[in-house]
Amino acid sequence: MKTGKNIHMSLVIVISLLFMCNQSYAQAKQTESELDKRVNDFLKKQSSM
Amino acid sequence: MNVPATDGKLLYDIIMENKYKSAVEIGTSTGHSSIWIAWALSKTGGKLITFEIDERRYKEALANFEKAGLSNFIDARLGDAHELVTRLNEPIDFVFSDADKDWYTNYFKALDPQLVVGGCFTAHNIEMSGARNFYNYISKLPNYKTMVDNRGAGMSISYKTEK
Repeated sequence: MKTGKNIHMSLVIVISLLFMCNQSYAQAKQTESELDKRVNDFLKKQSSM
Repeated sequence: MNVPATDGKLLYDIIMENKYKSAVEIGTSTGHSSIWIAWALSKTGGKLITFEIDERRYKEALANFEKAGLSNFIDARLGDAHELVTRLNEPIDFVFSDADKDWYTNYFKALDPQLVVGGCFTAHNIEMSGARNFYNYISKLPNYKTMVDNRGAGMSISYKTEK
């Protein structure tokens, strides 16, 4: 019984960690693409001046 | 004057392909090339140190870095690069020289000890008279592999192969 409970807890922790990693990755990707957009906009404006 | 987009993209690609992290630029001007370099460094986790002697251009560059969202990746320094480059003592992966052409060889000699093996020294407007003397010098060095990219304003690209 105790072993089953431990396995269940471990699974919950692993799934939570995976979820958190995925969120951080998605956030980093979003920040990166926002920066790319900002730089691209700046370079476009400069080249049209 | 801004570097042509072809040259900016070339600087970006060199940094990305080699995963360079520490970069130095001599001659910030209004920051156009710095932005290409820092954009690549924002992806590799690196930082650019850039030197400009003219205060008006320096301030304009700072404003441009802000507009482009890249200020956190750029350490812009106001002053005479002839002297400031000699104070750098950290390892350097990448150099872009775009200041007084007749001083290119001196900039190179000052930074060569800090440039890591596998690092790259680039110089802009390589067809101009002073820069040509630098090209003749660096292209003969046995521990550097030098090529020229003429798609933009002419850039020498020298990879350090040995200490």
